[in-house]
Amino acid sequence: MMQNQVNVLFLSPLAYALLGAAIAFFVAALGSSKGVGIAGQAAAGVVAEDPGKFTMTMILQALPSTQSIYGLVITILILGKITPALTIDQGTALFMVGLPVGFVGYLSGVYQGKVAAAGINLIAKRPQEFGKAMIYAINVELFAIFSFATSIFMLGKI
Amino acid sequence: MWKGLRANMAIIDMSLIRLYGLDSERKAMLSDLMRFGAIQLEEVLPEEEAAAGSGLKTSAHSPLSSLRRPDDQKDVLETERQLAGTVEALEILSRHAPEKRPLFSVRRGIGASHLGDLTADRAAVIEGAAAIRQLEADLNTLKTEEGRIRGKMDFLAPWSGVGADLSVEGTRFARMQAGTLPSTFPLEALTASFARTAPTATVILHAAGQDVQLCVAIWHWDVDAAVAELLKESGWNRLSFRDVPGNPDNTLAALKARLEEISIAKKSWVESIRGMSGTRRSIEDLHDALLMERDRLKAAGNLMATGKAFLLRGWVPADRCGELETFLTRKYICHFETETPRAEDEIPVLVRNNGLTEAIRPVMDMYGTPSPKEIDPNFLTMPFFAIFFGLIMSDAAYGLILIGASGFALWRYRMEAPVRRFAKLVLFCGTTSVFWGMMFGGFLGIPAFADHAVWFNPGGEGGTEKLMIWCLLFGVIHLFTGMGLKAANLVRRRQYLDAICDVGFPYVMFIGFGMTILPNVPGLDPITTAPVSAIGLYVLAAGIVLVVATAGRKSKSLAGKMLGGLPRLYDIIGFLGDVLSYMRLLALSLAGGILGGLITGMATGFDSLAARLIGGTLLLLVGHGINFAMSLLGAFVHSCRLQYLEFFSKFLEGGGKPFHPFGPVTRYIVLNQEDEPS
Repeated sequence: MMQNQVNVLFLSPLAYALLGAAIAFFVAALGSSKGVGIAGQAAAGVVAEDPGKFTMTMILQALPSTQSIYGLVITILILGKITPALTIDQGTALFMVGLPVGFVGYLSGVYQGKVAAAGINLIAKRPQEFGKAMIYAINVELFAIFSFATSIFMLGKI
Repeated sequence: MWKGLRANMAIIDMSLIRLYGLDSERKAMLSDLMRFGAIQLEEVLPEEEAAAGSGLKTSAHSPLSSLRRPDDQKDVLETERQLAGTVEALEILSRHAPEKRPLFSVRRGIGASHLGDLTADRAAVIEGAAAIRQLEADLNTLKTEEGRIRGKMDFLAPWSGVGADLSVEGTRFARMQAGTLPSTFPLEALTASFARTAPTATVILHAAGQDVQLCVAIWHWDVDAAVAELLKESGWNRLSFRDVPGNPDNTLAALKARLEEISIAKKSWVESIRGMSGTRRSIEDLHDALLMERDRLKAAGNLMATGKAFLLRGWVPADRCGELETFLTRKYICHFETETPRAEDEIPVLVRNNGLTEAIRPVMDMYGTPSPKEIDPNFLTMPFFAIFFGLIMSDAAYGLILIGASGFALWRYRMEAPVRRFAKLVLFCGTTSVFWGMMFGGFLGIPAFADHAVWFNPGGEGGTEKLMIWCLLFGVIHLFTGMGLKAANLVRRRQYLDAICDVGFPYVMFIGFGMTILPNVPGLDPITTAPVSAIGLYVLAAGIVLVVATAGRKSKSLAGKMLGGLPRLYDIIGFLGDVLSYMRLLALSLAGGILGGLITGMATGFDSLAARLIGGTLLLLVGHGINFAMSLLGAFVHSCRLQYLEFFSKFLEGGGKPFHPFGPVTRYIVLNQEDEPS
């Protein structure tokens, strides 16, 4: 009886797969939330001085939201792989798939938000440097993109 | 062929001209130059003129010492004063009679020959603007009075019903004061004190507020000192009613009546200002005319005059020099010559693009201005940007929306040049989105389309790897094109050896590296690519030898020549990093596509018909709306980044100063002219 409960908890392929799907989205989305939040606060401060800068600050603010999109896509792809005949190997593998996009997405989202906030302060003084502010923020995103690609390729092996 | 290529690469050659003219014709000439709008004035410095042996110096009657700046400071100030008047009048008008702005605001076009009409009835317009300002001043006086009255009413309101004129300080024998006591102070204590030391004094409570008690104290003058002492001890705060004499109730009624009068007057004043809104156009015209006049007067600060003649220097696009010379010499007595620019002169950069490549200008302008000595990359940036944008969107339906919106805007609305360029960019990007959408079967994520993709379905079996390989290949092409532009710039400067060593040999090295790692690329068969890899190893070795041997050639020491090339090996890592960066194309394209598919799947998955109609439609609109917006953002910023960081870094020197011709800088009207400021 005891043995059986342990099996259900630690050897259920479905539980592992769902955990992977959950991590992929919710960890990445935490990063996006934090990043967009940080940038939004900076943006509101700048727009208080000059409402004309709304569009530029909004674009910069929205940049860290992509991490959660990558996470969502991986979550959906993991869920799509779940079949009734899931083996424990496949279940744990699907769990692993969720890790890169989730955790890298978190840090990349937070830091992209910070860089976007700095960029928003940059265009408060020099609106003509919008392109450069954008590039700084986009540079942080590359790692989320790599982690997304990694998750996708890992998924291809299952 | 070379010449044709150069004409296409549209950084325009500039000539530095010197123009000698008569001082009496100076204002008219500056006015014509402004209308010509294609000369960027440079400051004429007396010391340099002396060193250059200027024509002005040789005249015996006008020695160098008499060179001076034409002094128009007084006129500049006067024009600026009038300008400020029009700005204020326009602000007042837009505050009280706001104008409905069109979607794309466009300045009114005016033929150069109509310029004179703008200022025909200048006195009347100035008067009109002054009248508007006067109305606003009167309105402000009313508002100030209103505020004062409200203050008085707030002060008096608690005293309503007191039934006495509180501004009266007493009679021959009696004193009266109105004031407040802290609400914590017991009134009985004060009455008791009065009874003890000043029996003729009394205090009457009128009303008790939250913080204070409003009281009136009355006493006989012979107990003045005792009352003053007692009141002070109780925390008495005397109130002055000097500004509001009379019975508070009567005063309040009078003030209220005055408030109503003011409110009616204010309305009629605002109406009068609104009535003046018909003069808005003519004030705007005057504003721009004054703006041009001011700039014209300020421009004179760049030139040098002797009292009889003046000298002006400036940059003119080389292909318009002849036109300018004929235009000026036909009308004025003047002498025109071309100067050879010195090495330290900063040549302004004018980029002139055709209808197709001008669309990329918004992207280029965000980055900066190319150097005057290099090829304008717009003709290559444009196709790459549009292709990458489309690849990221890769949804035909989203592309059609972009085409529809930008096409409609271009067809239906008049737009200023920068807005029009942007709309064109959106149109081209929409077209490539439709193209890639068809190639990959992307149409709102509908599975039936994905199954019938023209090329392949990236979401299908092995499609992801295939798309990744193609994205990286596009990256290699993009990067190699950038390096090719560097070579073209070097060849243009006749640095043929540099072109071979700095671009040709790295090409060999990178191609060899790419061939070597081919079997390790996911999705490629390691066995069939093995022979390529084997050859690649030799190519890579040859490339490395060539690069290491030549990259240090500019070093002075022998050791530097031999070892200076070693750090360039790091370029292989840099190149690999650059290529991997194009993986973003794959990731963004897939993310948008998968999300779109999910939304469509959910929207069509409802069981009942009613849920399908209402919930499905709502889900489709909101879901695809968000996905569209996010894809748009991603496509724009990441396509920009691939140009700025991966592409431009390979060749673009930048740092050029954009050409700012002396021309009409206006807000409301636009003169028909050819070269717009970059």
